[in-house]
Amino acid sequence: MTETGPTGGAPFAAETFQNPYLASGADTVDAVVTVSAAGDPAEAATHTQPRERAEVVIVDCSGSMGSGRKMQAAKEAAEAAIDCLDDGVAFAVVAGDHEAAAVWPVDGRALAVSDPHERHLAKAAVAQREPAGGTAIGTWLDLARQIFARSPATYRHAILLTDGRNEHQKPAELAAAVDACRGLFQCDCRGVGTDWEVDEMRGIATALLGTVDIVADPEDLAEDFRAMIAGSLARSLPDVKLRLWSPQGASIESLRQVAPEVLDISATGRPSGPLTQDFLLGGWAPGESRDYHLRIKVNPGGVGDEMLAGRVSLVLVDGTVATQALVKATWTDDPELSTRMDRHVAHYTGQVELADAIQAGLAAVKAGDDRTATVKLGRAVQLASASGHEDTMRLLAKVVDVENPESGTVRLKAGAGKAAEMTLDTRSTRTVRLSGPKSGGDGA
Amino acid sequence: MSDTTAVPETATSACPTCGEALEPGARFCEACGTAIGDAGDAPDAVAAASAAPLGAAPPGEPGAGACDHCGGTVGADGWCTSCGHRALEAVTVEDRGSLAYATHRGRRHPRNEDAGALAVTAEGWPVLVVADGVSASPNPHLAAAAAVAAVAARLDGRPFGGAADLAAAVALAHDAASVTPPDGDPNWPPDGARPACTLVVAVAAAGAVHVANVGDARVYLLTPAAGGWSARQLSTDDSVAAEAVAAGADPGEALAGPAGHAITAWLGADAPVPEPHLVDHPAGPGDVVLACSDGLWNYAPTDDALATQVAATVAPGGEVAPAAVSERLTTWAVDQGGVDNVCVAIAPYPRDVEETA
Repeated sequence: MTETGPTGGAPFAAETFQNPYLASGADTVDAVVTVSAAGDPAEAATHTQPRERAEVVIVDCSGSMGSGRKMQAAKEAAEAAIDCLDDGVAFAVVAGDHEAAAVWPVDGRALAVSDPHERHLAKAAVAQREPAGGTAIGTWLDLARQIFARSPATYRHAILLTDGRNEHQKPAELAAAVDACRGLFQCDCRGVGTDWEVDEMRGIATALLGTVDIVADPEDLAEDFRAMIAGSLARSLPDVKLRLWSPQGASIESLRQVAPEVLDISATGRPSGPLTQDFLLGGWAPGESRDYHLRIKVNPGGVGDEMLAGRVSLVLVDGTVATQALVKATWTDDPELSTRMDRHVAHYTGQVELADAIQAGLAAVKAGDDRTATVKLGRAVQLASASGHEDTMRLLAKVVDVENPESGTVRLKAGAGKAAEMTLDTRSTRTVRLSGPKSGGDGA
Repeated sequence: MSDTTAVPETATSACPTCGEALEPGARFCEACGTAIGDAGDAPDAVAAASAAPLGAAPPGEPGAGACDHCGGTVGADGWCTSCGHRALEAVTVEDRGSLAYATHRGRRHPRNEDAGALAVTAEGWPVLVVADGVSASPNPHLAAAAAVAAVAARLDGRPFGGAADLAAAVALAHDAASVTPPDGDPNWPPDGARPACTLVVAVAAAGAVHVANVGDARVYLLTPAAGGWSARQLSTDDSVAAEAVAAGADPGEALAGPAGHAITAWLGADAPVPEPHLVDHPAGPGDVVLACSDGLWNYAPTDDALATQVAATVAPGGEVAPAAVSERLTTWAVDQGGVDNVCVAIAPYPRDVEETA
């Protein structure tokens, strides 16, 4: 486990893993780029710069939250989150049903600035909420966006909690609301219970560079909220953009974050020059490391030609390029060179297929197509087992009986339960890193 | 305030394609690669740039001009800022004054698997060493580099012992070229194949040039002749083509045949203990010894063709500067297409050398 972190005071480092050799006529270049932030993760909590940050907590207060302990647990979770806010952090609390309402500050026109008194008032306001009405998540995001817009904070983060699906709004309205929030704040999404829609929450979290998870038992909510706020506060490094240069005539087929979890950011690129696109990566914690799988289609060169197929630059807010990693292509008539697949690329190709197989398998379960479900989840077991993904193996084992992990032979478990299926679904995108020694970058 | 701040007349202009501000005198837009002609005649500028021969501008010098692929600007890191192609790197030259070698990757191979080395015996006689990694073997550049280093180390600064000495040097080169792959290194194929290379050694001793070779790298003796040079190949190719010619085949057809370039002997762990071709040939003042890989002689396969190319490179009777001549011949081979790696080593006999033997 040798960490190759940034050196010389640079806030970020980037390293490329690829086999640059392509067969004659081949036009697709695959590479994994590891981006690492400087610093020691252990110090993150204590040495956090009190930078300009804003947090908004969005709590579902629809009528369905009134069943069981959900509303009470959600209130306690919001209160726990408020308690975690350091003095000086700007914050607000939003309650959502078929419309959104500012809980604190009550007029929703400005953000509160955290101190013991403000936190006390905010918690008191949360405690008074009663469950009523429907669910229109887009309106909640709209209000959060308006609140953030009044804040000069450079780092903006929201927590969104729901227990149901977006029933009182058209999907297009939610999509428009999510789009309007892109790049303005990051949002971690949580579903409590089992009546919410995983795909819906995943869509929001993906667009807003956040995580998605299930909190099946309301009693676990407070702890989860504390962890989310702590994780958010740890992101003390300046925001960074990934700038991707690719040559004239090339196209970016896909750009996915593949570790710690799969996040397809291909569609989020915005042109920043004739040959460059910028992708927002959100905030970073010291010592944090993420892997990106990049696929670029280029105009094939002749045998012996060497081409820069992509240049990945990490660009800070002030436009400074913190670090660069190069993605190369070299055409060869030596099949020994061109047929070799870089092991990082191979590994993450498998991890993405694993997530896809789980999601397709669970969709088939839902549709009553047991045959497809068995095939897909069997493939998922095979991939999870081969890559040593123990967490996912454990979750899969709650949904299927595994007869042979190597061949992917499984039987669907009768009555696996919705919570087990949704947990597997939400966590399907979490990946493991390649085990074993890191080979030298470049593959050359 | 505003009327005192005059904008200089020489303010930068903008790229007609993307609007990026242009550096004064820029021939290409740094942002999008559009060619900027004097009269906005971009296509001609691109055509002219891409037609420029390798020899006309030093290849691979960062920012040294236009990409020879698309005419765009080559960035400081050697990549074209428009099409991404890498500018050809400069020819590598090792210059020891009275002897030198030059080498280049060429245009088609991803790395240079040729290697050269120079040495001078205790008598002051130049030693030229050239090895060519066998592309069909894994990591052959390692074998080539190890082989030439072993030969140079054996002969450098020691009294030269003739053919027996050369045979011993080749045996050492064979051992050095027998590279053992490190365990578990992903850059090595699992099938146990080992690197291999050819080798040629020439010692320009007083009165005679001594040659040893295994494989198809060559040594020539160049002699001033009426109106130019004559060339004579002293090494013997270990190749299918050479065997065919020895059996009576037409040399041109033999080389063009399907196995024309297949070699029949090499150094490396997969090869038996080598039996190098050993030969010596009278040589004297004004003669030039040239050792090279097939990256050069492929473009001048006969003695006459090579002599013609040498004459085009260095005037007969003119001063033969080893570094400049080896570099020019290497550049010429790359210009011809650079299908293989190129390595050329040169050692001229001084014109007024005294016979000491």
